[in-house]
Amino acid sequence: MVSLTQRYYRSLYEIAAVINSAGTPENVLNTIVETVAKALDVKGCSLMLLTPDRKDLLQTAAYGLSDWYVHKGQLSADKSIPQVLKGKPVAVLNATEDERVQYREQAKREGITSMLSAPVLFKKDVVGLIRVYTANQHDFTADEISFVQAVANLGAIALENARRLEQCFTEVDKLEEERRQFVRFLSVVAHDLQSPLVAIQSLLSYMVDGYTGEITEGQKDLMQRGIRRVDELLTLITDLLDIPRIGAGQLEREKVELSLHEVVKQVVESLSSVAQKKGIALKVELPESLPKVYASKRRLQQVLNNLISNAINYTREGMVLVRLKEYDNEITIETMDTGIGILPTELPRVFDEFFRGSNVGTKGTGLGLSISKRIIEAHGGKIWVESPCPETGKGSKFTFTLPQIRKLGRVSET
Amino acid sequence: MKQRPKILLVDDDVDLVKVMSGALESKAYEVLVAYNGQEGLEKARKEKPDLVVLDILMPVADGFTFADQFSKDPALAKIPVLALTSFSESLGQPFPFEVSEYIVKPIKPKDLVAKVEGSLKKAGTSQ
Repeated sequence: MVSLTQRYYRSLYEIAAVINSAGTPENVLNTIVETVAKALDVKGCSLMLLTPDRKDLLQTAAYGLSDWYVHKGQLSADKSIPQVLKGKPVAVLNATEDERVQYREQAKREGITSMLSAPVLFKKDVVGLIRVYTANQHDFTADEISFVQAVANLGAIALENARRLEQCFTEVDKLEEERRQFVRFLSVVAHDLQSPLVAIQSLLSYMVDGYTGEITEGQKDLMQRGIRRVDELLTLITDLLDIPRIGAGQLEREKVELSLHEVVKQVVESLSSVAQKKGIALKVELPESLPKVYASKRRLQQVLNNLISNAINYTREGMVLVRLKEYDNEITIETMDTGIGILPTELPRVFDEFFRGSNVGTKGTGLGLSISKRIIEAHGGKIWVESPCPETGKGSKFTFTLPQIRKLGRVSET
Repeated sequence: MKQRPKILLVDDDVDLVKVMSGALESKAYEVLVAYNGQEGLEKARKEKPDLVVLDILMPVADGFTFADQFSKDPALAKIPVLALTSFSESLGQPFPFEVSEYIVKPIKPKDLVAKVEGSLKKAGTSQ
């Protein structure tokens, strides 16, 4: 036979488990009253909490009692309660006759005979009370009283945990919403800042293209300089406003199953004329087949475009090689060049925002690589740099990895 | 013989409209202009253009709203749409409708003309 003590221990254990399960305050309290009633094998159990102004008690959870009884009236009128609220348990042998009990008639109708009330304590403060009801007259033992007391105190902790957790969830939701609003705000800012610049560029191009009549070479040169300067500003605005948008959440909805062959080929094709003009050989090494990746096509294009155009920009002669490999469940994409390279002291700062190598002048916004890094990391990959490039002995080599599609499950855990 | 192709420009930016219509008119296209999506839909229904050049972000019925209603209208659905977008905009939202071609702003008039010609040829309405 299960002894009383064992039953109590089991109940306390069950309640502790509910506390750990991070349920809602409602869940936790309902479990507590049910567990107590069952452990003591009594008619019912209820839990009342003090309102924040400590003037009233709210019937918060009940087990084994009729709705009618639970909602019988104001609780603070009961004369047994002040003592409990001072921190002392009170046992009433016959609730239908005891003067301290306010609702004697109702207790009788509900079939209640004896009642035990114990304070619910959180850190030394009484925050409410727990009450046990029996159908037959019962003299509560010291063991029973301390069991109820122990449960009540566990309950207080559980309640506080559940409340804090709920608060955390509300906070998280609020932050998420703020972030969404911020991203929307950025879209508007981006559009409004870019629109006039885009119009200026188009107006200048219109003249350069000769739609308004013949222009001299001198005029053309000046207009093209204007176009380039506006272009710099446009890139800076785009880059700046882009950074907060590369949170993993933003990227998630752009992700699709993707073959890297296609993406790499498109970017290389679009940059081949730039390389050709500089007399640089732009080569690609693609294995015949590669597993697909789960990625945002536009974002990967952005990274490849950044790395390859950097390589072309900072190479005066020689070649730029883009190489794809499959290695250890990952796909590795390397960009190698024979260009000016990066000073050893500056290598660790290459991916920092606004960093520009001291050997490259004022070209670029200094944001491209930091954006690329964010994009790759939001895909569960890594990006790094070596200079000089181990293969060519000069220039630099940028490498980034992307997880293969079937390994996604593992990636999302990190 | 078919008369010269009719192009409907839907864009809220007056300066861009000036550049685009100038470039297209120089190639003997007939150019119609609407400054928002609502006006664009009305003109499209009335004039049945051969091609629409559509800006995506506009006040009063933006490009998305326009394209949604446009593609639901059986009389218009087959008309090719050339979408104007800036890089940062296009990253935010994948297009929920089919467009025959994109132009990423800033618009170079020559590119626009080339893409309009290309789209018309694909749709079988060249000059």
